[in-house]
Amino acid sequence: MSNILEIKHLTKRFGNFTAVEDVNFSVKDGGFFSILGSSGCGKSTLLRIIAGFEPETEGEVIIRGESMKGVPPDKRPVNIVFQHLALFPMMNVRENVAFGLKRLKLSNTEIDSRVNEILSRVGLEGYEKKDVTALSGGQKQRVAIARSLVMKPSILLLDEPLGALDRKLREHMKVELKLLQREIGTTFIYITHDQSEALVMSDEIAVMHEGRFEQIDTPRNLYKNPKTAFVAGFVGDSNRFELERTQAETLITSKGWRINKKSYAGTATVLYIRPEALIINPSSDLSDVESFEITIKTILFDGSNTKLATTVAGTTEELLISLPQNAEFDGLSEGQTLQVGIHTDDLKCY
Amino acid sequence: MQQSIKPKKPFNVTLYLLIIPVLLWLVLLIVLPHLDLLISSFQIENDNGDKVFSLDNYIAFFKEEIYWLTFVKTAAYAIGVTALAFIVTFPIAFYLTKVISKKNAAFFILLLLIPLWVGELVTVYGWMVLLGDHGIINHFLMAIGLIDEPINMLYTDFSMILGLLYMSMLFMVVPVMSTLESLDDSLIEAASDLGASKWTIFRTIIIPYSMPGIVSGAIIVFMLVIGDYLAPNILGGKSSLWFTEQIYNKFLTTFNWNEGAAFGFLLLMLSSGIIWLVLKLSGQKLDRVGS
Repeated sequence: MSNILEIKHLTKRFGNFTAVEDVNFSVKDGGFFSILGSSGCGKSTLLRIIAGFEPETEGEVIIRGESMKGVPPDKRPVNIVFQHLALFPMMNVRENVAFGLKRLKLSNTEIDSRVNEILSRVGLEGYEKKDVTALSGGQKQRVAIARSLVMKPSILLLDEPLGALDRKLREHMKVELKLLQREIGTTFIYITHDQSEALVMSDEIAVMHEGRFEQIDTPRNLYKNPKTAFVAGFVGDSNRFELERTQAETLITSKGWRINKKSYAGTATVLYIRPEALIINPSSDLSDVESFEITIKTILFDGSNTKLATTVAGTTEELLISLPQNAEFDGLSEGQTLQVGIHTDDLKCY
Repeated sequence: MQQSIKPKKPFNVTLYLLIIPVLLWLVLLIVLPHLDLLISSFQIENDNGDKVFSLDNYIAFFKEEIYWLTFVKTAAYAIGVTALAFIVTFPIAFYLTKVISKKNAAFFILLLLIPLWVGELVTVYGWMVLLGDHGIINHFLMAIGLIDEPINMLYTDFSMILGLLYMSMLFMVVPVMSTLESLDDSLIEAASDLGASKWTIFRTIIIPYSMPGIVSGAIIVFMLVIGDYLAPNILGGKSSLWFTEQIYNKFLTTFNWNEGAAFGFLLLMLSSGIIWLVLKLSGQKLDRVGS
């Protein structure tokens, strides 16, 4: 598969403020690429540059091998689904979807067949004559996506399109969007601040922070092997510890918790441990597992997301541990001490 | 014992007190005078000086060419001025809402309002100073040698239209601006993203979106212009007849109040008819336009 989009040394400045700083990445044809970052990190600006609404200060956007320098938005082979969808309120569903096709001066029969095809793709057959203002949130979403997809763009850009939906519908649309992308094979570039959206849908995710890309990787790698402290803290849940003194092969936190880590050079300043990486009552035949004792302070019940709030024995360091909801741990109570273990690879130091 | 679900509403004194001025206004100042005019428009005095029912007042209008020619001309010019007001003010409204910052826009809107502060009569005289044979424009054009003789601009249809346009323009800017303000910029970007050129965006997105504001502005401008007396009378001079002048003449020059009333009603029918037609053609509802 070839690269459909290449971004080279892209920088955008607004006066003294640098919104996007020397960003480089490429997206494979047919891929689902997400840009994940908190609000104000520059991800929307980056998307607007790719769509052509903002000129870049430096660098280059290359789509299908062609530089997009100076190409206006209406001439670029990309389409965008806006955060607030930007459906045309004075038009019905059909007119909204047909808007771009009419600009291509296609025949009416061709427009009709393409509109009908895409509407059945997104499950909106029979809604052609409806006013877009009369649709539900999820239906509006689909109209917006259909309106862009009907143009058969090389790349579909999505700017947090699920942000306005309620949680249940968002969970549903997440899966639906992923399946739709698989089915039609269009390259999606998806912008979000919601890591779960990015992790579920993407082939590749770029984590963006203060205008820069911290890491570009597959969802699994991003979660398993975060390259920077920011990514470790941002993606997934983590217990964070300041590392006090440096000593080879032993991590010492600021509150005096010591834990061994093989082949550790002794230069890190911060340690991240995921709650779900901790093993309760580890069996002794596991290799490379460091075990230690904790005291349960309280049980934070949240269904499948239930956690134990604990302190590491002998210190005041607090540690959250994921508690699987199976019969094995039903008997746990506050104040109890437990043996827990962690694989030394899951001790992430930066 | 079961409580009644809907308690009987107490007599709401405040509501009725507040409604009284509105009702007084409507009945005393609008409904009654118009009823009186309507009745007198169907009356003439017979030889004995008694009032009798007749259609003569209306027949007189259709018999005399100058009356209904003026009538048609007034309607056509009022439509023309409304169209001009739209063409002149739409770019201004767009500029003020979408191009410059809100702070600067507030300042320019203040500038736009200044002509309203001094009143129509003063602005009309202002135009006389500008447009007269010895006015500023002619003086300037002669001074730079572009013309030898002053151009006759005052007391023509041109000066009349200019005056009508100037005094009514603002009433187009305000409603159009308020609809444009609610237009999300991302609609324009979305249209551009879907391949629409600037002109297409204007034609298919901006104009349809601001239609309620345009129609409501057009109705106000049209009514102001068709019922205006000062600008046609002073700036139009003798060569530019306006239907309100005919009504004025009937009432105050020939003292034929019955015919004047009939003419007044014809004008009312005309403007109501055209507004109804505009609402029908543009597919707008009166309640949406009115808000």
